[in-house]
Amino acid sequence: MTFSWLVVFISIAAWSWFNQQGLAGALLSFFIASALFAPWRWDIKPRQFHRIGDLASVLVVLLLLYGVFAQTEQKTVFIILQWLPFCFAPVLFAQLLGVQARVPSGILFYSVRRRPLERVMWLDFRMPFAGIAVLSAGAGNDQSGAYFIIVVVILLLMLWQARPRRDTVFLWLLVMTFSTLVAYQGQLELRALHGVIEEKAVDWFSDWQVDPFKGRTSIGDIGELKLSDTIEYRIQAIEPLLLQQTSYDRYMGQSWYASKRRFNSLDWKPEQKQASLKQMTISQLGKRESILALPAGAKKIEGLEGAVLESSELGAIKLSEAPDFVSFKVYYSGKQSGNVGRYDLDVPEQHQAWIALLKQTLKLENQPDDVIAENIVRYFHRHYYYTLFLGATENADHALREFILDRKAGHCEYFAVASVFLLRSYGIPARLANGYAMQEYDETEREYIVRRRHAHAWAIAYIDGQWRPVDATPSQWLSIEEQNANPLQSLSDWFTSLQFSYRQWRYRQAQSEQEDGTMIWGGIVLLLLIYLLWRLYAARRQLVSRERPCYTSEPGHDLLGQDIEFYLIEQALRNTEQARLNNEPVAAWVKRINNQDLIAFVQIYYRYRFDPQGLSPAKIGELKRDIRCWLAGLNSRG
Amino acid sequence: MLGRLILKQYLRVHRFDWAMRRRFTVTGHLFMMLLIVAGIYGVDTKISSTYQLFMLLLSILFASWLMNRFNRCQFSAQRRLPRYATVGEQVSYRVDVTLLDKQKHGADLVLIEQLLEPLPNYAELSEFYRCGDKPWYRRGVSFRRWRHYLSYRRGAYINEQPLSSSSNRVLEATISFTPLGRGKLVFTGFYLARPDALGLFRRLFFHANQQTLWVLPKRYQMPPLALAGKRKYQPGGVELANSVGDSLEFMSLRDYRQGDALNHIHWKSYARHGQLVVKEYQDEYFMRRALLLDTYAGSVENEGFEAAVSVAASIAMSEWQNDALLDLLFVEQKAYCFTSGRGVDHLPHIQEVLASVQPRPRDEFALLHRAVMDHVGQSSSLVCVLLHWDEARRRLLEQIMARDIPVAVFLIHDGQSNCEELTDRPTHFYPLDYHHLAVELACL
Repeated sequence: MTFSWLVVFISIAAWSWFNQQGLAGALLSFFIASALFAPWRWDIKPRQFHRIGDLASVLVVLLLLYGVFAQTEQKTVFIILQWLPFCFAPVLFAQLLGVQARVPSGILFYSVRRRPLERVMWLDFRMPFAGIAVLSAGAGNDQSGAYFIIVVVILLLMLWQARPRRDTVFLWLLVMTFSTLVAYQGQLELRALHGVIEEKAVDWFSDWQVDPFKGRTSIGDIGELKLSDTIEYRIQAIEPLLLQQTSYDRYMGQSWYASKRRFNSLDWKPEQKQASLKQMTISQLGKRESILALPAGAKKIEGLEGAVLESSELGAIKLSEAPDFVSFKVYYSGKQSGNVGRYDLDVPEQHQAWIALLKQTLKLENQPDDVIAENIVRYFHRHYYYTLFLGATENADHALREFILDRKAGHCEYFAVASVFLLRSYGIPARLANGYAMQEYDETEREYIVRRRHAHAWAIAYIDGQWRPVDATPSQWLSIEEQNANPLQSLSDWFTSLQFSYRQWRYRQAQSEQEDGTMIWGGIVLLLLIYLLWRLYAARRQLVSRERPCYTSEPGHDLLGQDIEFYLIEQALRNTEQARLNNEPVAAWVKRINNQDLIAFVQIYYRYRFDPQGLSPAKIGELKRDIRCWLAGLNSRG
Repeated sequence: MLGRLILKQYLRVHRFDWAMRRRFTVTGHLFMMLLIVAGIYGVDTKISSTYQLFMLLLSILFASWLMNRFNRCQFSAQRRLPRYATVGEQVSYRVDVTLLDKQKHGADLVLIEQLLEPLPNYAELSEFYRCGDKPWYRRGVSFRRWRHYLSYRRGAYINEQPLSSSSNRVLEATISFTPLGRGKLVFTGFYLARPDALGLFRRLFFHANQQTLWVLPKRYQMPPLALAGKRKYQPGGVELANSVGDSLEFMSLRDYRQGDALNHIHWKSYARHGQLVVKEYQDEYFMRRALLLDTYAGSVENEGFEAAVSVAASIAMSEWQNDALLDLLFVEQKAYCFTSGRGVDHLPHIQEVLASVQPRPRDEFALLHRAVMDHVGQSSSLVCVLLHWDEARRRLLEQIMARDIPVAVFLIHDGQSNCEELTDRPTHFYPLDYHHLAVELACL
């Protein structure tokens, strides 16, 4: 076994270990070892090599299709990464079982397939395969440092073989040690950098996305509120509700924060019997991580068994490791319980002035909490208007004061924040909640459609031991946003519906075929295996013994006469005036150039090739000797 | 303007590609590819650990690149090139490399031959691919076509050649390649590629050494042309008949007539009588054949034109064996006539001329018509290698045949047209399908 094969076996072992595919790795290694020691080789033609390259491409495409259609938690690109060694295994076997012991570059690169045979570059695929396997091992996502060590070992082995032998081993080792240390520190820094960028990216790119820890409101933004018609959820429910994603309790530096940031695994206790709960079915396109929008008092979720659900103390529920489409059933009571926190009564100093003015108008002191909440809502509905105009002041505090005292018009966040502060000023614990409002009902599908522009903010107040929604935004907000909807909404809806329907179909297929999926894939693999075996059987005529040296670049002696070096004379006279012409018979050629020596040689040579009696070994030896002498004479003259 | 800009970008991509191919070793290429894929997969460090592989590859490649900066090599090289080669036939030659520095070199030095690459302009490419005749969406010159044209003009592709390891400072390489097209192959110099200590990058050292190699057109075996024709008086006389034919023989003296050559004046008689008297010799008579090559390619594929040149070269070689003069006539910028045979010129020179003939985009047959008619008086016969059979060509042949000069026509075609239906064919009319040229010429 050569050094290169050793590197291949190590890389396969690393791949199977990190991806936990021990059986696959063992099978692959077994087949390689078997082929390595088998005495037979196939005489594979360039076109057949290309077909093998196509097979590798087809395997990649099959994996791609599998990733797209099958409902898996792993992303398609990583499924491909994980199984890359299997996709390229046919290429390795082509090298292993072919008499050429190498593969043409056209097997991997389609663009060079049309090159003439003499320009074909032959590759040793062992090191590229080891590289692919080590790359693929990275799909295992090992963060313990073992992957780094294995990668270092394999790359060192690869480089050891490729290094020029002129320099000292010490220098080579010194450079490699330096590179490894730099790389180790570099990969730690890279991971840290990724963490920082990810954190920043949330702020930069995902204004519409919900951050469960920090709520930046649009209060203080200038211009018009941008609305999107993209459909976020499709919900089958008996009544329209507010779907809450998260709530914030702490106002600081013009932003809202959740004071309790830790997510714990969701542990719902069966407080009530399932029969007494209401239910709704929510379908949504999944992201890698998302905060669920749920009705108040959600008690149980069905249909997300494979995913990870975590909840924060402020009621946000995080969904992770979910497929790209989910449909789940939520059981809810409509009553949101929870404890009051230390920040739920805080009113910022800078807002005390306008609150005092408003309280003078409202005159709600000593009223029950629910009456205060109702009156606040009623007051805003009567005296304030909804608008999509964001305002002209950049400072959020000034903008809020301007909204209350002068402008008296704003979007939902103004109303929600103002309500929270007013409620708190009356001693009622309150928080800012955000989520979506279910308003648009699709009669055809019999379900509610929740678009991105239905995103809403409201206050929740702790009244009578429950967190109740206090939505002070005037009810015309939905009709105003409806008027501002995109005129091409029906078209985009059609596309979104199509996407929803396709993913829903795929989700259901995956749900129903989970059991017999293995059978189908097993059947496909078996059929492919039978086809491969049949093709190998059909190609048995091209089988040659490994010992037979017919794949060397030296001219073979399969044809009678090729063992006599007459062709050297032709080569020696090439590009001279005595050169043999294309397709010119040898006898005609020597006659044309009128060389008596050659005429004599050709007569004997022809006897050797065509005379049934043949030539005696002595005569053959004599002819060979004469040819050598003639060539030597020619060289000495020229 | 846009075309020039596009070609500039093609050139940039081509040079980048050249550098990528030459400046990396095979392992270097593998590492670069792994680096890119590991980088793409490693963008999210939380999903996969390929970013660790990415960092290690990046670090190794950087170290390799840094060491490559200190790579040094001084050398001189000498190429032992043959003078001629033939299209499609392998040429081998030796290169001797002398290392001038005292550094240690292993068996990892690679010699790269550099051929002259004439860069075409957009008009030249459009003309070559006949873009004007194509539908509007196929008129552009793609990168693939541009590179194809470049390799066509370069004339050959020479693989890198590893230098044999030797203890002394003189290394040797035997390079073999197959010329792809006829013409002059210009070797501008050598690159010596030396890998760095890790074996990923290569540094290239250039040594200028310009040499040329003539690549002659393919020649095929063909039987001698049985074309009737009589020997004719040649005004060139002695100069054209110095080897074979009627010998220089004194006949008589006569009075000088205006136009007689000065070296024919008999000075002794002039001294005696005071009147100019000239010596008269026997006239020179021998065969003289005109070979006409049609250079207007028109709708004919490049392969067809190459076949026409090959046929002309084969005829020239066949005629060389006869004791006749051969006039090669064709049109390029103007009408040309090259005479050879009977010691006037060497056969290789005619082959060199044929190696340089280029197809013409416009039909300038009228020019060739005039040249042939000026010349035909001295010719015993005319052999035409034509690419088209139209009115202009038929008229020329009619005029020639009217002068009782035998004519042979070789019409090159692509095998699609039915040559039996062609009208006004002379007796010696040979349609040749350029796909089966060797067979058809041998079977004449």
